[in-house]
Amino acid sequence: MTTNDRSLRLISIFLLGVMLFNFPLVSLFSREGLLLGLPKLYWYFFVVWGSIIVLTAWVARPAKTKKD
Amino acid sequence: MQPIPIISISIGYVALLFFIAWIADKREAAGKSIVKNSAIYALSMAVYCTAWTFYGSVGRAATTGLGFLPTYLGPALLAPVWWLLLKKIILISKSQRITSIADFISSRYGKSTFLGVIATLVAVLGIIPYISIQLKAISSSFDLLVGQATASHANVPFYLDTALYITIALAAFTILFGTRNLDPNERHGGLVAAIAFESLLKLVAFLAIGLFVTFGLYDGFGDIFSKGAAVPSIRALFTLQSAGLNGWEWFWLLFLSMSAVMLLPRQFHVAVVENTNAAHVSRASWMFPLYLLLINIFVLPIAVAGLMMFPEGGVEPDSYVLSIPLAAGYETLALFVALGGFSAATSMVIVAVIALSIMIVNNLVLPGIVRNQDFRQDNPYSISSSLLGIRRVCIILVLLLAYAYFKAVGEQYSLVSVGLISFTAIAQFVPAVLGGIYWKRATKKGAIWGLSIGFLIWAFCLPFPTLVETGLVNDRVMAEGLFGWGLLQPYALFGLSGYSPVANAAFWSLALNTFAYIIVSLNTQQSPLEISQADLFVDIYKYRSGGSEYEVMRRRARVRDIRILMNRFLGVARSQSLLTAYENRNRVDLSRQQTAEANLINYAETHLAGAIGAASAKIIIGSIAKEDPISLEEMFKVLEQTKEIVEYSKALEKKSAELERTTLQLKQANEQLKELDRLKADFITTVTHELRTPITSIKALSKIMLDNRNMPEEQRAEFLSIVVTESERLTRLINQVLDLEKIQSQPEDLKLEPLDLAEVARQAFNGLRQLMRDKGIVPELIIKDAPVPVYGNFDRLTQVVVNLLSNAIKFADDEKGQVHLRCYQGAKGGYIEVQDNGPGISPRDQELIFEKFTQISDSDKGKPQGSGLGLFITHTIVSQHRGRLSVESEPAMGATFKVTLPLYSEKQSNGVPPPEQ
Repeated sequence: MTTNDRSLRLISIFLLGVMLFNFPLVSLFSREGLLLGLPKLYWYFFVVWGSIIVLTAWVARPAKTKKD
Repeated sequence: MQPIPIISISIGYVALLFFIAWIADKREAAGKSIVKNSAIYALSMAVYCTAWTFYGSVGRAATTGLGFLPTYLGPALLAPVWWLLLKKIILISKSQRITSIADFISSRYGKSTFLGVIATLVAVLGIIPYISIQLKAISSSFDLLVGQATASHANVPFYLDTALYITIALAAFTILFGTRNLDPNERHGGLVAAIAFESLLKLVAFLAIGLFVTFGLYDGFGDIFSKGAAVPSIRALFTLQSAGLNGWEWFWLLFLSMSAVMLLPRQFHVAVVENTNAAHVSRASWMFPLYLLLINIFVLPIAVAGLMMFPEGGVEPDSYVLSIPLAAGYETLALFVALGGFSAATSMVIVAVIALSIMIVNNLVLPGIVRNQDFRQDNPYSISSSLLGIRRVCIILVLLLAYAYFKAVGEQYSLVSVGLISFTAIAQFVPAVLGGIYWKRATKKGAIWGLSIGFLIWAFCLPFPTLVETGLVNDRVMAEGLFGWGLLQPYALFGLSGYSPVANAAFWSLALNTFAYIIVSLNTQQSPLEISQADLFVDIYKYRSGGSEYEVMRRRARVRDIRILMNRFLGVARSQSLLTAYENRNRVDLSRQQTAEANLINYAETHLAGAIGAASAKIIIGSIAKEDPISLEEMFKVLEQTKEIVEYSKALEKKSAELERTTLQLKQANEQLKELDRLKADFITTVTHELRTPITSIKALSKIMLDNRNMPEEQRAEFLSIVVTESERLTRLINQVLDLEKIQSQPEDLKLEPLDLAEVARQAFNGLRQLMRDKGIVPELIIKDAPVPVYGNFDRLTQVVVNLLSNAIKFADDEKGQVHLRCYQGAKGGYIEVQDNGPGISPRDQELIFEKFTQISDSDKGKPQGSGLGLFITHTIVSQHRGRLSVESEPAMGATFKVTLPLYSEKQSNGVPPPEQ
């Protein structure tokens, strides 16, 4: 993965996050009712948040451990 | 709970922090730093989580549900691009020795003092409300623990107010922490270690209370939420709409937190100034969001639990974190949680106040002090220690201001709403910083206008109304607008209403800030220093990789003055070690130099900037250095140079390739010339040798005849005939050499015209017919009546035929000699064939006979016949006619020489050159 590649991927994650964490997408999950005991919005935020963290960790991992 | 154990635990905790800092400093001095790793770096960034997070989030969640989240989602969103954005800022700051966010902005726009002042004011005035909420959190948690029923600090005389003593204690604590080192520009390794520890503690404390509430008081998440969902007011918190949040508010909350996590003075301090390695950013960009996620998981459950436990109100939601364990009777847990809150607040206060004090000293105080001062006098008194003194005063001042704000307004607002006031102020830096590192054209005036306008709008829309509500300002302004202008209402600026004050203020201030920044930048010019700084900031990677530094100013200064300056501002020891490092790196001996070179001046300025900020360093260096400012044109030239050099090197590469090609051609030509030279030398050697042979025999025979007068007539006649033959041979040889010379040197003299090849053959044959008969050879001429039209020179072609015939005569069989001459027109041209019945030519010799001086030695006759030039001349003439000369022969079977000449036609299609007429 070149530096440029990595930059593009990180920017893509950022843009994806901006989309997912803003209205109108957020309002889709802003519904009453619980899912498996938790509010739907609560699920939505923490799952998306966790995914962004995992994605970032994967893309920003040090170059020496890269496998591709 | 009694106040004494609480206070002693707090003091014990502070002592522990000092111990950690002391250990870290000791380890760092020993070269085994514990803070130089990405985990500590990420933890130190978590200073972002303050009392706002620890107490305020739950309070916010109790009123707006997940509306507390954007403050943490913003940083989590931005973190992926830290690897681009933050890394660039770090690299720039390292190369420029930036000490604060105000220094960064001032340095980018030509090290402007004025801009530094504005940025410092924005930062200090913007952060004071933020610090005040930390004071509020600490004092109210203390009140809760000792059981004072929500005492109002506003009505207590200040000398009885616990918050004042907390403020004083924090000031002392911060002074001890931030100004321990006499050397102010070094990183604070101990501080970073302590902050990282505090981050860890507050996370553990918050998770502890979260687990206690969720799994201790309730039966897990499902239990809390299902019970909460039964209450309509709580159920409303599970969606954003019913909590009163729309997309516009949401967007601004995200935006403000994104800018805050990078540009808050304390965030800039830990993320940039204290950064030890830019590579740590890549791991921090997921570890820090992970920290935020963990500390936020239990916020909503705690808030729901608090709302259910205290349904009748009366308990401040901001204090649920403490009130819940206290109400449940878990005092020890409450104490531990309070310690977590204490660590969250103290870490913020320490770092923020240190960062602000550095900013105030370097950008407000020092430029005033150092202006118009002469530092040339050698003064043993070092300014570096007085710098620390000034910094201590600043720390106290900032904290007292924060206390005053807390006393005046802080208590009437929730933690989060006050904190957002600060976020909005800090967001005013966004255009100047983002434009500063990506847009070269941005000017100092643009930044000044943008920042000033944004700051004024912020001040009017957010802090001003809070003063109004405390009664300090007439409240008519709120309803009727400033000076009675309806458009100037703080919460509905320019008539925009219906949104929260923060969203309104953020929109107007940032929109007009950005607009002014761009418009003014496009309409103003940059000074040379601004241009060079802009280039350094925007193209930092170019400077890092190329290591190219250019002279910004043509400055001259005395080495002695520089030494004095550095001694006074950095201390003698550090200044000496810096200068020694410079001498070693550049291999110079400064004690032998009178005038400092530009390199040394830049070096001194950069290191002074690390201690006192870019603007002050510029002023101080300016006091000892004579400047010949470079004109704008020259500046552009310098900046263009890099580009030119790249182009130039490309051109050079091309040139060198061409040169290589030319060299190769020259080499080949030289080889050819050498070869020709060798051939010439061979030729001369052979010719002289050939000339000498007949001459020697003529000389020898003549001498014998001269000496022996009585020689029989018979023998004399024989000798004379040999002399004649040899003379003829000599003449022939000389003629042939001359012929050759003529043929070879003037091929252009060859006049070509249409002629009949058969006629040439006939004439040559007739000329030699008698000779052949005399030799007893049977000649035969085989030609048809039809002419064979070719294009050539009659005389030369005759010479060809004569030469070939003479050759045939020479080699024809002695007794039954036969020579045939054929001339005919074939498909590919006109042919002449000369055939003899001599001994033939071996295949090996066939390859050589057309070379110069090749003589076929005849084993029978012992000595070579002819000069060896005949066939070579023939071959040359045929070649000049674009024809071909070949030989077919087998030993003892005779030889056939064959000349092929291109036919002449009217169309000239056979490639023969046109007649020269």
